[in-house]
Amino acid sequence: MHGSDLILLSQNEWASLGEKAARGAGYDWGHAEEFGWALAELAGMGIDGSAVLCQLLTLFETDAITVPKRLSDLNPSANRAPLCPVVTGAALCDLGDMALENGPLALGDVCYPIFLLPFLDQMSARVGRHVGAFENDRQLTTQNPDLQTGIIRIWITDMAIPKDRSVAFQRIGIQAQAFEQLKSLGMRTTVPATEQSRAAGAGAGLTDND
Amino acid sequence: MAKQLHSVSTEPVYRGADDVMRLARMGSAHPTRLSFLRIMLRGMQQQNWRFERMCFDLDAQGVGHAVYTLHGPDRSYSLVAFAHDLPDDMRSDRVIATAWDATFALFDGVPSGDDINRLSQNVPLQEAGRVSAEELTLSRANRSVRLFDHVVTALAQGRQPDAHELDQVGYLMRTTAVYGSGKFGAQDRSEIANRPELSQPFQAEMMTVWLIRQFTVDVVNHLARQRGGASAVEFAPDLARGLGVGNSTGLGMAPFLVKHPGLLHAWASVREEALTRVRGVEHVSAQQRDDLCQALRDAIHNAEHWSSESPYMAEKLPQLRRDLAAVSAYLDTWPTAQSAHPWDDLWRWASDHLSSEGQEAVLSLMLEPHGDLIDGLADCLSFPETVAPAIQGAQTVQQLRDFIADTYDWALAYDFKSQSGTARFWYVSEEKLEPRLGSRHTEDGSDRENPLGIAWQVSQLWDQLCDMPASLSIAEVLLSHPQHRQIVRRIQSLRGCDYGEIRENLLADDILPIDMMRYKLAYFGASRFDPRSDKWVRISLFAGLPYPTDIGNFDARL
Repeated sequence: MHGSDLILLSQNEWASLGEKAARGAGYDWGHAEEFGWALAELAGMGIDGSAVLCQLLTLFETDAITVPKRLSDLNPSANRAPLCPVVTGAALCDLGDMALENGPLALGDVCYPIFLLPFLDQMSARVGRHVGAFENDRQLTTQNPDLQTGIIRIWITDMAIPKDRSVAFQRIGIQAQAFEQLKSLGMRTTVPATEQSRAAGAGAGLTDND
Repeated sequence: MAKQLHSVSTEPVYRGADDVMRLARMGSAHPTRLSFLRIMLRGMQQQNWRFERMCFDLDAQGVGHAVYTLHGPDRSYSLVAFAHDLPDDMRSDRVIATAWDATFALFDGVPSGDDINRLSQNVPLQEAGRVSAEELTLSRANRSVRLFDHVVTALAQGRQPDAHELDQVGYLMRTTAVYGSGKFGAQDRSEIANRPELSQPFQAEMMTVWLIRQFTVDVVNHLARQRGGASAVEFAPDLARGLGVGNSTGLGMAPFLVKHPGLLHAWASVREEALTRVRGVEHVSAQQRDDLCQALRDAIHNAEHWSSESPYMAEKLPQLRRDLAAVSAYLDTWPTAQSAHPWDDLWRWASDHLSSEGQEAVLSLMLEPHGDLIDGLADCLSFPETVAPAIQGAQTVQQLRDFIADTYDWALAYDFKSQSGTARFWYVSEEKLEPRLGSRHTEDGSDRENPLGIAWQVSQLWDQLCDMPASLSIAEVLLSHPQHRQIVRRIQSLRGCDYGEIRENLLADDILPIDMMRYKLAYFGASRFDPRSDKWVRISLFAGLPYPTDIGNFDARL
């Protein structure tokens, strides 16, 4: 596109961008896939999550985020950095009904919880009930801007009001700076070339006249 | 699907994944009537599509653009082609190339002047440009230096090109990439997969290549006229018919089969279902026998003209020719009058007497006469793919262990403690994002490897699970050991998809990526598979088949 136009990514590109950036930042491939999926899901809802993702990955690299490693981490805890919304969301999906067997689940502080919401949609589909995120008695939705700006103390329950799903998918633009930052992180999943690898690794010669 | 049993019953059973999903057999795959390009051509014929050259604006040097449109019952699709003047020393089939003889986009509809203008600023740049949701594919092609000029010169001088030369190369131009599925801004597959004409796999890509084929013939005719003026003649249709569009494919295609196991299962199970249905047929009509014999003649002809200097084909090709001759002899006395399952007789004979190459060729032959019985299976070739985090967290360690022991026993049989078990690693290069294969123990970079060593991952998961309490939930295992998340999701999501895994250790140093590429290319409908190394191949698409200008007059039984 011309220089001044927004870059409109395809769903595939959103997912690939998020996956590679998360992997480049150090998440395992399984979680990286879920980062990509969540970024693409948000784009499908008309939300450019790229800048938030950059923040999230920076927090991860500086150990300023808690990656839950056991069930007890999915509860509030003092003296702990806020929870990673993607790893938390993925764990909740894995648990499904088990997460809510004791009723509403308080998670504690979750960072940039906009990234939690796609997982709660997925969890709802799994358990057959509407699972939503709340701060006190306020149900959190993608319309709340504070989900993209910081930390919210969250509890989840399956008595949420279902979201309106009538919006059709439309491509949105991605913020240029965040795009570059995520691509740069993604490049860490590649291997710098050497003369040897360039010649031997992919098979063809450097010119193809035949 | 039932595993292959040693049984005295004459009822056919499905071939098992242990047989079918090994690279020795996958690397012997032949195109069938269920290949993607055959499906597209049948659709063109049955739905009465129409071809229209909207514009052909090339100068005397052959530089310019053209628009070719296919009109279907509900929608139109247009190839927007840009022809360039490429110096010979810049011609490269590698992903790292920056210029090409021709570049293309498949536009969703009929492009306006503004669309063409926008595309002219992006398509020639390929990966360095952007296309939009109005484009379905982005591709490029290079000339065969050997054949292209020979054809133009001959036509310009008023004669047809040499048949032997045409045969040796087989194409005027070869594509070096055909991107779809949302790449570089193109439309996502999910947005178009509901359209009947695009619901089967790679239909937009097949349309693209088919239109490119027409373009290549039009370009040589144009250049011949420019060069020869009144003396020039048009390329004879019966000669042009034998040419396909070449395709130069490297390593990047091989990981596709590993990354899309659900799709792989769909493709393989359609093939096996088709074979099993035909084996169950109890009679042979005169028409079916004729069709079979014609298909055999075509296969023998193809094998005679199929040339490759590759050592990988040095034994396979002569073996194929011998096997096809043996089939010909066998058919002299087939079917026997008393046989209850004559097609099964043919199959069993092939299984007992022919190489893998010959057997897979016979599979293709057997499918040809049975369009009515199997063409509907084309609808089963797709697989809904989502990367939704759908892990079954409630499964226990014991349950998953049992499942792995049952369905991934092949993966657990490899020795990953030895260096040779993990000799290789798959990765993407920083430079131009080109997929490559590295040697783990002698090169840097394995810390950035792509997770394609499925058997190794299964083995590592198995070791982990053996170390954990049997009743622990997988959700808890993955919280504390997230490195297994991807493989667990894969294993769980492939329950029931017996053919979803390539049953090999893809990290071993005797793996031939070209076996994986041949398999996928056979599903495309590629003929004349010609490896240029163990990681790079040339093939041809649409050779011997009709052109877009032939729609409405398709003479071949597709």
